[in-house]
Amino acid sequence: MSVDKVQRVPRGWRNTPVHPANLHVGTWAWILHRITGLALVGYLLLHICVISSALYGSGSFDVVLGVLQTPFFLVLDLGLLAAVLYHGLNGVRILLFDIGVGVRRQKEIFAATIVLSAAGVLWGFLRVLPEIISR
Amino acid sequence: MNRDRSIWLWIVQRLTAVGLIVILATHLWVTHFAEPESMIVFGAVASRLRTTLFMVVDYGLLGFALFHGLNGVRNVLLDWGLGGWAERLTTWAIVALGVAAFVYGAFGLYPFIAAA
Repeated sequence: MSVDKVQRVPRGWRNTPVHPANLHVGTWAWILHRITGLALVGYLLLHICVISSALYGSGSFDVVLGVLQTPFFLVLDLGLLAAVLYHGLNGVRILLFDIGVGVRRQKEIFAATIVLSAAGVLWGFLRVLPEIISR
Repeated sequence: MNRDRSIWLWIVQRLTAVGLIVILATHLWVTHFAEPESMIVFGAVASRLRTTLFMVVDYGLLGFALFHGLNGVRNVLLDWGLGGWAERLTTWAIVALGVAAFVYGAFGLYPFIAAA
């Protein structure tokens, strides 16, 4: 084989398997599952602290919960809703694959988790909007 | 990590996942949708926690969510390729955090039950 027939190996970050453009649908689903999972653990620990404010009297609990129901936190709740919906729906997707259902339709099922999550957040936004405007 | 223990953790992670879908859906429905106009205040939560059903829901949620969440964090950490003492330290730190958070959360729910 002559030297000029040797294929050039593509170089650079763009040509690595970990460049965002080269990631597969399942990898995106996995990355989002991790990010939302870690965020939800952070929320869970804060949530335990918030609810346990009742240990310092019912007044403390009502003050803390009053702050957490102001418009700023209602908007943050939409982020929580997004994380819960995506993590839960993608979890169902994983469970389906475990029992051998839908593996060949994995791209469509991933798209469905994104669309359903987005729809849920939009619905939550429409629910929260009057609360924000009225306060 | 011992393979036998690892497969059990995987199975329990799946079981708590299914459990959480049901318990979390109930929790979110009751706290935000059953009475959409009402604010979350101590008295309302206390009257709900008086019932056995919601004690099971709330304590179950605390345990399931902590197990599923912290086991997930451990999985993420172990994906960094930890082994030996680093892996054991991670496991025990996660267990300690889980037990502490469960105890604090369990005591945190008690004032609602005692008020009823």
